[in-house]
Amino acid sequence: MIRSLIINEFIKVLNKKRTYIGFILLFILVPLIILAIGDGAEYLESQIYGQLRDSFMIVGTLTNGYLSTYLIIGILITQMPFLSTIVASEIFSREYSDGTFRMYLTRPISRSKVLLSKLIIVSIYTILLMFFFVFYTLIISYLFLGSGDLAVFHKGLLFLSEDDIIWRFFLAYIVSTTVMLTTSFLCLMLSTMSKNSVTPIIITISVVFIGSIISFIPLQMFENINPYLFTGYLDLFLSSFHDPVPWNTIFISFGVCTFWSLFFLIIAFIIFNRKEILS
Amino acid sequence: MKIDTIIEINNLYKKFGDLQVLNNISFSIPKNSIFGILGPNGSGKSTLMRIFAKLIKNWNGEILFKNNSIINSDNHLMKMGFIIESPSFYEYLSAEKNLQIFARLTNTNQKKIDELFELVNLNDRKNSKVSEYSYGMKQRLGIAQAMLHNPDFLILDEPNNGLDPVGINQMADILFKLKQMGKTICISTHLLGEVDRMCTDVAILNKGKLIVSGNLNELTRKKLFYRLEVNNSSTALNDLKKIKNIEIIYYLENSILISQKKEGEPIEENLIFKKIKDIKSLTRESSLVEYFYD
Repeated sequence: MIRSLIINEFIKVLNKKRTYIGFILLFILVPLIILAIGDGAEYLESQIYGQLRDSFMIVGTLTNGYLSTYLIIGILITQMPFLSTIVASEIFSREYSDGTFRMYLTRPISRSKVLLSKLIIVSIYTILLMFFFVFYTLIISYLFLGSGDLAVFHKGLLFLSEDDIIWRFFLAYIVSTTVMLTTSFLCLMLSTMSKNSVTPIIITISVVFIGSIISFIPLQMFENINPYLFTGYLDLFLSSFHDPVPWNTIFISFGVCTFWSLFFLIIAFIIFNRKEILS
Repeated sequence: MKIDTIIEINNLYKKFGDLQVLNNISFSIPKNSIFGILGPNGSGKSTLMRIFAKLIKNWNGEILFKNNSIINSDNHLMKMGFIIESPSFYEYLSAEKNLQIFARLTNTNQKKIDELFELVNLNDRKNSKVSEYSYGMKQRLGIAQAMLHNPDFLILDEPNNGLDPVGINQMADILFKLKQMGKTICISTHLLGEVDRMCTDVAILNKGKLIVSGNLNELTRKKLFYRLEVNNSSTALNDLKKIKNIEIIYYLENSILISQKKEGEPIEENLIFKKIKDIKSLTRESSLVEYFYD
């Protein structure tokens, strides 16, 4: 039965235009940013590495596909919750508002399995969207700007050699996808409560926004609670490009995200199983 | 539970907050009947249907489907087909894809889907998106959806709602066809004419209470019904019991509804006036259902 439910969810999601918005936006936006980075490489380098030119003689350019990818992920990662929650936000709420649950749930199927099938679809969508985001950016950046060493700031300027970079993008992908999955699960939980598919996105983005404020403002109280919030790990992908990689922090982030994910899913499970379908 | 009964409802209660939506409802639905649940808006018809469909989970009482309680089991859903309120489909998908989605939940094959498109006369439009369907077409597609797993019992909430006269006739044809196929059909409606035209049995609800239920012929046509307006029903009831061939159907504080015990034996109006001392008026009712529904 779960197989049939998953196939149904696939058909529903694949036939909605909204599903493709995130992919289309990234498809158009990323090359434009890469072109802008390539065009303004000199200015960009003077801004980022300006003072270093006084101490070092830099031959060639530091701007390459890897730096471009690193910068684009850094720029867009805080916007990704908008895109990754598109499917999650309406996966329950639209069925409430359209009244389709009135027919779907009159079949002899367990609501827990319905929830599970939707959860699988949301997870696959989030994973695919993040994969597309990171690796489409990497491929297009590589094609436009070529390869080379990656210069990042970590305890000063850190140069990562060309053959030490690709696995770090995979790690960055895993770290950022973990946080994004938790964000999608929060949105899915809110979707089980709401008939309006915009409300879950607004609340999710508000939570991410408040979480970001907590992680950026250097107040003792905020610093104490930040490690326990999944939103505090939204930019943790940056640590994939540190040397050494802070594995301990990454594993803690996995633990925190898993805790919040389970929390959101248990709440969603309870709400959906008790929900009286009146619309 | 009688052998010829498909559903039996005993002492059903449902509250939404402080609002008692269903209040001690008990009736049964005979097999192979077209059973009408008649009541004005807010009478509890849709709530009752949602309870059958397990869309509403918290309620008190007992519902037996083929002698088995539905409280802790979903098995009855395999034998029931539903349209609750208006039929709502995935509008961005074609009608066929919609039915395939529902068919997948009950392992129904494509052949059955094709048969149902024939039955509801939508074969030539099955590849159109549901968003392009008229309301009447959606209602017919709703019937096909409800019939996918070949249920014994169909529950249709206001099936004629929003249909034009042609659509109403088409719907009636489909329902009679289904009855001939041996299905039991339960429809809810607030239109007395629909019950009169289509139903064999009826239950009348008002403000969450069951007013009357039974076979429509018995309730409306075969017997004579009289309404007595009296000063005090309890005194009058004792006097009425002394009169032959009178059955007391229903009474309020100042009003009593009576009928013949046996068809063909008339009620002697003069005798009633003679025996009931505080009688104010005696009115012949043309239809029992009409009486209650008014």
